Amino acid sequence: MQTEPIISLRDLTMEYPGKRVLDGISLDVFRGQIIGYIGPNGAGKSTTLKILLGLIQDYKGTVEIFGNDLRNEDQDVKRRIGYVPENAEIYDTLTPMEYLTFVGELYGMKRAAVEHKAKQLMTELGLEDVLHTRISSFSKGMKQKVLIISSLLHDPDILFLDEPLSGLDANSVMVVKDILAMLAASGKTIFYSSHIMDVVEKISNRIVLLYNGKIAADGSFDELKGQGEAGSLEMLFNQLTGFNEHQQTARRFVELVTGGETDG
Amino acid sequence: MDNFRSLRVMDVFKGLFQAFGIDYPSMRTIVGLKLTMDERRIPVVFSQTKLKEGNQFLKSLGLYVLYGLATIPFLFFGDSVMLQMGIVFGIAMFMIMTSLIADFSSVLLDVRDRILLAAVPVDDRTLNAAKLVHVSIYMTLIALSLLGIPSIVILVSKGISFFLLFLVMMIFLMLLIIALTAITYMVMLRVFDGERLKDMINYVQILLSVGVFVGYQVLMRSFEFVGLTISYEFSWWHFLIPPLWFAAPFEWLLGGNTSKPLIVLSIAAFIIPIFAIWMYIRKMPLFERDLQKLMSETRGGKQKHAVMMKFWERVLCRNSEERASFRFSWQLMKRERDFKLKVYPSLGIGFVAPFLFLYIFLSDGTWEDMITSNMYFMIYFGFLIIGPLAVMLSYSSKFKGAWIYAVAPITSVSRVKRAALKASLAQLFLPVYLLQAVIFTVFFGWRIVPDLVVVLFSAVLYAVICYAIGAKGTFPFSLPMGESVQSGTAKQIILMLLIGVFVGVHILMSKIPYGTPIYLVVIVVGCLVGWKVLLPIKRKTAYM
Repeated sequence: MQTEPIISLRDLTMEYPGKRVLDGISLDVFRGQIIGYIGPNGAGKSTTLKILLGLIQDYKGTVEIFGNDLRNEDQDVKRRIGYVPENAEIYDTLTPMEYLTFVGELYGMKRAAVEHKAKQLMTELGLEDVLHTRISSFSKGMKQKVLIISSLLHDPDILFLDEPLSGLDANSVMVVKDILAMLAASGKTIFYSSHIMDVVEKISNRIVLLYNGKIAADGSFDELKGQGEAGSLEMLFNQLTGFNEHQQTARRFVELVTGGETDG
Repeated sequence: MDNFRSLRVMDVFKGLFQAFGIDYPSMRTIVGLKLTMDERRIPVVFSQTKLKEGNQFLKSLGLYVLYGLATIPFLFFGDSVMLQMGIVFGIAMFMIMTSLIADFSSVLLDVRDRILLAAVPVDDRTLNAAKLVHVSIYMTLIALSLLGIPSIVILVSKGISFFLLFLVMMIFLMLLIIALTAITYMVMLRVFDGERLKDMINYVQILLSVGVFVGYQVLMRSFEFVGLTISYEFSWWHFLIPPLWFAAPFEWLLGGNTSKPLIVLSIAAFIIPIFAIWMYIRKMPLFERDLQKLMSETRGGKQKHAVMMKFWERVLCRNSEERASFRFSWQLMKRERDFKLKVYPSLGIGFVAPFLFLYIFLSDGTWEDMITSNMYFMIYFGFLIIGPLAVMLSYSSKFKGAWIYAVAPITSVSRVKRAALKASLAQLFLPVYLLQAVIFTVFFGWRIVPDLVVVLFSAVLYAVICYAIGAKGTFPFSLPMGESVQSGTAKQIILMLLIGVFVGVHILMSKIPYGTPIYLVVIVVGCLVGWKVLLPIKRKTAYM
């Protein structure tokens, strides 16, 4: 069933002055996959996403989306991509309605159609009464919902998400998780990076672990589990990133807090 | 953190604070921390110049010294002590109060205190005292720089008793200003929600910038009246002008004028500040509670019927991408406070300047002379709006949201930029220009209409040149606001000189027969070519 890859990275290398962030990454992503892209802070997750989106261009290697080399800058490719950035970066002096119509129109939708769709989507996520309120007064979770809607307005085929669940309450997390699962089932490809291992473990059907600019592990959770003796993704993560002293670190920390009065 | 001189001065009053039940060491730590943070903040008066290291506020004090020097002539203005001191206290009150609102709203309205310090075992009384002390330190510094030199002049020219009375009155004036500002905020917090309050503060900040410009010009003019003998006569409405309260004791105690109204005014100068500050301290807990509004999320809100936006959008934009960007830019400019703070002062100055220079002309010549002259070229001073506007268009306090430009399938970068520039001109420059043009036509008659059309097209050409120089190929609203001050000044001067070129050519052309119609054609063509060359519409080739 897996024929042509939707996203294809070949020897992707990215260097900032004095630091190699990505060191020859090769990866094929296929239709309908939910890729959980994990790794320690600074491993290059966001950099990879930014390259895929065309936000960073001075990379080495090749990146193809829908068989098009990114360097050709095909606007039709962009039209089929949706993106949720990390840290809820948004022009928050606007109202959701104003922002969403702007984004929708940039993606070539008719204004009336965007307005209608935005209103319905906002209503579904419980935001119908803040449609015309400035985003700056929103909580982080509400902002995140607006961004998720803005990434899906134009019905993209690929979705890039950077920590999409941060700030959402437990119920909203469940809704968004189900949305992602259903989108993938309907043939969309989802590529998302996160630190929250429990969620990655539950909703990804393929996990890619980035460590020191290289892919340290790639496969479904079950496959990865077979490789080591870890019982959870969290433990696997620790094992693969060579971090096994969390207990020692924790103990030293607590001793410093209490002035060395722990019993062990 | 301990090396603040003001803290050491505060230590002198340690006993006094403790007598009020304030935890002095905690308060000292809090105030010290706040002073440290202030070193990383830029005051409004300084916003047009460069971003530098150190406490910008302390550096801006130099400006207040200059303003203070301007008050000295008034000390010798006419024969009436009441008028002299009334004007001096009036200027001091305006300067201190506006700077308090402009630069210290963030202190008075700081809600982070609540979140960060509420969990720490520090009681409310100490916290509030810290806030009051923090503001007072700066007020004292402003007052000292503003009135330091004038008070020495007073000491030398008017004697020791006048000087001492002046010092006492200044202290009471400052008490009144702090209390008045805080009470104004209390009332505004009661009436408006958080967003509206921030808007109001924004307008005061803008008023300050315009007020300084206009006030300076008017002050220069009023030197001509020096030498006139005006004696003071009381009217009932003087009770409504606080600076006169503070001037009254001089007339009463030193001038020997014991008329009843004067004594009442003098008493007001002592009683009202004390009453106001007592009110403030008493109502402070209420104030703190209302402050929570600033953080709260407001629900609801209605869709605005932006008639002007829809009109111009239809007139000026050709395709949906341009229309979307036009609306987006229009809405952002309407909302973003930092943008307004940087642009609106020049809006006020650009509107006032042409009339101010006409007024200056009138003080030498007659009205008939003026309306038959070519003084209508003064309307070019309205171009002062365009430079800052076009340059600031690339900046936003939420510049990180600009990822959307790179991610969205935009077919032409120039179209997005054109839309932003068109929106800025239609929203901010055009209304000012049209109003000026109408008034000028009333003054000078129909003969100037062709010239006004030339000016309009020159403005459109000038705007695109300013934008091309200012934007450096970036998307609108995509650079951090703080950076805007770094590159500003030199560029703004070049852009201002460019206005001179436009004026010069226009005046030359108006001197030759059929010059104006010919120039009109030239400038319209120049406009079309300028926009085509500087913002060419082609398939997107570069991202950011």
